[in-house]
Parts: sequence; C-alpha cells; structure tokens
Amino acid sequence: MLDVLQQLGNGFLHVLVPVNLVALVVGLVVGMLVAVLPGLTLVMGVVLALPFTYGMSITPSIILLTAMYISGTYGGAITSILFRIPGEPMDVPLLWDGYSMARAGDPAQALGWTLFAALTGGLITATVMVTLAVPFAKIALSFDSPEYFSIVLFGFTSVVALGGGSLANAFISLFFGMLVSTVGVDEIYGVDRFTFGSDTLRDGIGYLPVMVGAYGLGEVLVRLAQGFVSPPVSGKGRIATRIPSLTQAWQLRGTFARSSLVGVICGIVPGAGATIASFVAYGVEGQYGKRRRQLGSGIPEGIIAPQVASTASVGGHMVPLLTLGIPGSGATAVILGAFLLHGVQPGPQIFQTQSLLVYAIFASVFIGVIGMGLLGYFAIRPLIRVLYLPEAIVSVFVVLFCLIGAYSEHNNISDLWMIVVFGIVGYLFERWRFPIAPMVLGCILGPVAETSFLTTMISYRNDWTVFFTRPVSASVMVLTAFALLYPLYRRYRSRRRAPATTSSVLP
Amino acid sequence: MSRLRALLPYGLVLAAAAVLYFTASHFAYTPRGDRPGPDVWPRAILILLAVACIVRIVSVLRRTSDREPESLQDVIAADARPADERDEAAPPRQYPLLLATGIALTIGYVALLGTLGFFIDTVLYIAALTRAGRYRRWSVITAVSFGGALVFMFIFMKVVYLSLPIGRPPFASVSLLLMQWMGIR
Repeated sequence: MLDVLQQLGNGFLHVLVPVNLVALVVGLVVGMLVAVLPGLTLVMGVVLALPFTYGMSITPSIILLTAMYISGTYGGAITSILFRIPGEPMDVPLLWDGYSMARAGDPAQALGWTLFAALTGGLITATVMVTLAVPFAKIALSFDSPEYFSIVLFGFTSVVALGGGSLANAFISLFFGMLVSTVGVDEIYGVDRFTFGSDTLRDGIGYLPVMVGAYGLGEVLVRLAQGFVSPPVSGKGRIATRIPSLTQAWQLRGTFARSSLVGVICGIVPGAGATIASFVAYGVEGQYGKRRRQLGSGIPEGIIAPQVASTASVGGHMVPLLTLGIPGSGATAVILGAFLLHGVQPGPQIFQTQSLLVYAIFASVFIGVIGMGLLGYFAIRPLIRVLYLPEAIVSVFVVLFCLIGAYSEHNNISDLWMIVVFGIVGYLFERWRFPIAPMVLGCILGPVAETSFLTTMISYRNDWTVFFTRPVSASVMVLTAFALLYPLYRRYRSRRRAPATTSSVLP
Repeated sequence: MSRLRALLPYGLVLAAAAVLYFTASHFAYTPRGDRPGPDVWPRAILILLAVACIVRIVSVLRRTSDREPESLQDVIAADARPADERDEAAPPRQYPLLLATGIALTIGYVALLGTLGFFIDTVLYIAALTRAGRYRRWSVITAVSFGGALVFMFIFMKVVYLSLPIGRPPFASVSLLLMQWMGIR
C-alpha cells in the first residue's frame, strides 16, 4: 500500500508538469463543452480529440482523453437542469428531479447538488480505481491465452447484452466489427483476406476510420436527416451554483453510498456504462431510498443518485482497461485506441513497464475531478453560451475534424474515403437500430480475440475444452453465459408482465 | 410492407455473409500441420453473423406487432422513469433529401480535395453544408467558411505540422499564397 501511495505521489508530480497540466485543463474544458452541446456525444468528443494526440507523447494524450471523459459525465447535467436539454443520454434521469427543482424556483441548489454529487462520485471512483487496479493486475499476470480469450469474450458479450437495441442487432454489429478487423494481410500465413485486389484494403481497415466515421460523421448524418432540429433554449434567468452544506450532504449519505456502489460496479462490468449506471442508480433510489415516494418531484436524492453513479462509473471503467486491456464503453475504447496508437498495450504488464504513466493517469483523475468542480462552479455561464451556436455550423466543423483527423494519421486521402464509408455505415446502423459500440469494440478487440484463440488452439492442440477446464477461464465463461442469458430473462419477464398489465386494465 | 422493410437489412447482411463465406473458403494458403488456417476465424465470424441474421429474420416474421423488442437499457430506463414521463417521445421527422445532399457534398469534398486543395475545397464545403443544413444567414456562412478554413489551415499546417493537400494548378497558387502569408514552409 505504501508503495502504491509513493507511486501515486510521483504520479501527482508528473501531472503537474506544464504539458500534462495543460492537457488536463484542455480536456476538462472540451469535455464539458462537448457534453453541454446536445448534438455532440461524449464518445464523439473523445473520438474527435484522438487525432490531436498523434503528435503528443502518451502521458498528456491519455490525460487529455481521460479528462474529457470525466468532465463529460458532468457537463450535460447543467443543460438538463436549466433548459431540460439532456446533453448525454446519462443526463436524462436528471430531468425528472433536477429540472423539477429548477422549475420550482431553485436552479442554483439543483446545480449545487449536481456539482457536489459529481465531485463525490469522482473522488470515490478515483480512490476505488487506485485500490483495485494493482490487485486486479496481479491476478491478471497469471493469465494465459485461454483466460484472455474468455475475458475478451466476456467483454464482447456483456457489451452486446447491455448495449442499446435488440440483442441480435447488437451481435450483428459486433460480428460486423470483428469481420472488418480481419480485412488485410493475415499475420501468420501472409494471406490476403477480403482485399479484393485493392492495395488500400491490403493495409487493413484501422479502427480509427471506423470509430471516427461511425461516431462522428454518422451522428452528423443522423442529425442532418432530422433537419438539424435542436430543442429551443429557453429560460435565460440568472445562472448560479449553490453548493450544499456538509450537514445537508451527510443527511443523504445513504444515497451517496448506494449510487457510488452502483456506479463503480456498472463501470467494472464491461458494457454497463455511465448511462446504465445513471438509470440503475435512479431506479435503486426509487426502491430503497427513504423518500422514494417523492422521487420525481424535485428532491436532491433524484439528482444525486444518477450524477454520482455516472461519474463513479469512470474509474470503474478504467480498471479493466488498464489491467486487462479491455474497454467497457465507447469512450474507453477510444482511450485504448490512443494507447495502441502510441505503441503501448494496456494489460497487467503496464504496471511494471509504464508505472509512471499509470499513476499519472490515476493522479490526473483526482486532479481532474477537482478541476471539473472548479470549472463547473466558475465557468458555468460561458459554458452554456455554446448552446446558442447554430447546429448546422457546429456539425460542419465536427465533420471537418473527423476528416482531418483521419487524414492526419497517414497523410492519405484514401483514409478519408474510409471515413465516408463508415459514416454512411454509422448512419445506416442508427437508422436500422444497430448499436455502434459493439462494432467499434469488435473492430478493436477482434484481432486480440483472434490471436488469443489461435494461440490457445496451437498451444493446446486444438482442444477447445481448455476454455472450460481451467478455473479462471471457466469462471469467466460462466459469467459470459450469465451476461448473455440475464437480458433474455429480463425480456421474458417483462413480456410476461406486459399482457398481465394489459388484461388488468381491460373491463 | 413495413415487415418487408424491417427484413431488408438482415437480408442484405445475410447475402453479404454468404458471399464472404464463399470468398473465405477460397483463401489460397499452404497448411502448416494441424494449425488453424487464416480462414478459420473469419468463417466462424461469418457463421455467427448469419445465425444472428436468421434469428432476427425469424423474430421479425413471428412478431405480431411492428413494435421493436426492448433492450435491457430500455427496460431499466422504463422502470426508473416517473409515470408521467413515459411514452412522451415521438419519432423525429426525416428529411431524406437533406441527408442525400449531405452525403453527396461530403463525397464531393473528398473527391475534390486533391484538385482544389484544402483551403478552397474547405471554404466551399463549409458554405455548402451549412446552407444545406438550413442555415440562411449568408453573411455568417461566408465569414464562418473563410474564417474556419483559414483557422484550420493555420492550426494544422503551422502548429501541428500536418501536410494538407495544396491542390493542382491553378488552384495550388491560392494555397501557396496563403501558406506564404502564414509563414508556412
């Protein structure tokens, strides 16, 4: 523990180096701006920032993206509470109590509770992250290829099972992403796979054009098809934040504890991102909170629960990302992409080979959470001014960032065609209700899954039962089956409940 | 008709999976002992993809209503939501012509980038897409398109040292003039 604290101290010193500190501040500001703008999603913002990290060294790159991720979980709350515009899906539960409290004449207190909740959730998640990461990494060091394959499989399954859309659509999206990752020259045999004689395809399809195209251009096309109709901004009253006293906060300690736990668990489980954490925490408060019957009428518990949980999920997500190299959400998938672009593979070894980087990331989460609080308190008025920018203009610049970002990787116009292709694919996915996150994860983790599967087959003489006979691998396989079957069970239960409800209202 | 439209994407993916499976079955390679070949992994993915499509096609055909099945996230959201907030959202109106214009403009931008160069192409693209996005103030469109292209050019060429396309003559002369003006070598 002393060693961890010492390394964390070094991490703090490293974050305070000017270049890292600038990256942190820029990340916090941009993350909050992206979350405030309804047309931009948090993941899209992190994707657009990725190309700017090419020329940077790895530490400020990861600090920049992580800071965007942290502050992105808070920024959208401001517009939810003040204007009834959720910047992110995770901010929807804040409409129910946050907006109600603001409408009842106390927006400053609603904003104060949100800020306090984000700070608390952030600090708790940072502490949990530092505490859990090293033991996780030590366990992961003993893993062999069967364990890795089963963990990647678990990551895939839970992302698919917990993601939006139907289960089959999510699987189609995942398999599509995995298939895209097989395009190009095979590393073992040197054989062309699905290249159809094209030199561009022989180089393979990188995950960057897939991510940037599907999330960035695809999202803009979706909004263009809807005519760029953002909800009108109303209510230009005096905007201020009033932080609750510690006594007021202590009275709601149960809500803080429950929501933090939900957030961290949802973060660690791949696929259950900040949005799920936010909704689940609100639901848990509705079931176990002292004032559960008043939920939805504008009480602090309804603001604290979703905000604490969504910010607390960030640290939870960083644990499997750093210790196993498995991203559990769209934003962490992009951060994994940044690691790989800089030639660093996250996993248990990273704690030995790049310990300063890891602890600088940990320290940046602590400093970032406090910075987010300060920014949210002092810069709220200029922040919400971006809401008055015309959506058409913002969207054009988003597309340009996507295109230049893709071009800058290889200085090659053929990468731009990939962006256009995957932008259209992203639009079609949205239109036909295929979730995009499984495709991106399939594209990033597909090669890892293929390598670990083939290594296992070669090492264990094509004996596939090895996945079920080794204790860790077998346990993860059981978890995989659970992650797959639980949503089916929930759906079956909700279907059974639906006709019963219908029949009960019939005469 | 709506059911047929719902089946279209799955039919297309299934057909593509069949074609790609055939392609994967004909990868030319020399086997090495009992090691799995380069076709094993893609073929396994394609089989799973086809199975997922078939499952979806069957479920669409068996569906009694046009309502999509809910995801776990939807179920949780519905459970957590206060009663008066449920079933409030209506599907947004679609503008296919705007979409087609946006895609065509983006394709045009990429196609002309090498010829017109970054600056001219970007000015035209920003102006055209902003106008296509139903923004009507020409003074703002003009200022944003010229200002945006100049700022992008300065940041990426001068600060980030990215070599953006300068175009072919006579358009290249505009890029070269601006580069000289900005002190970009």
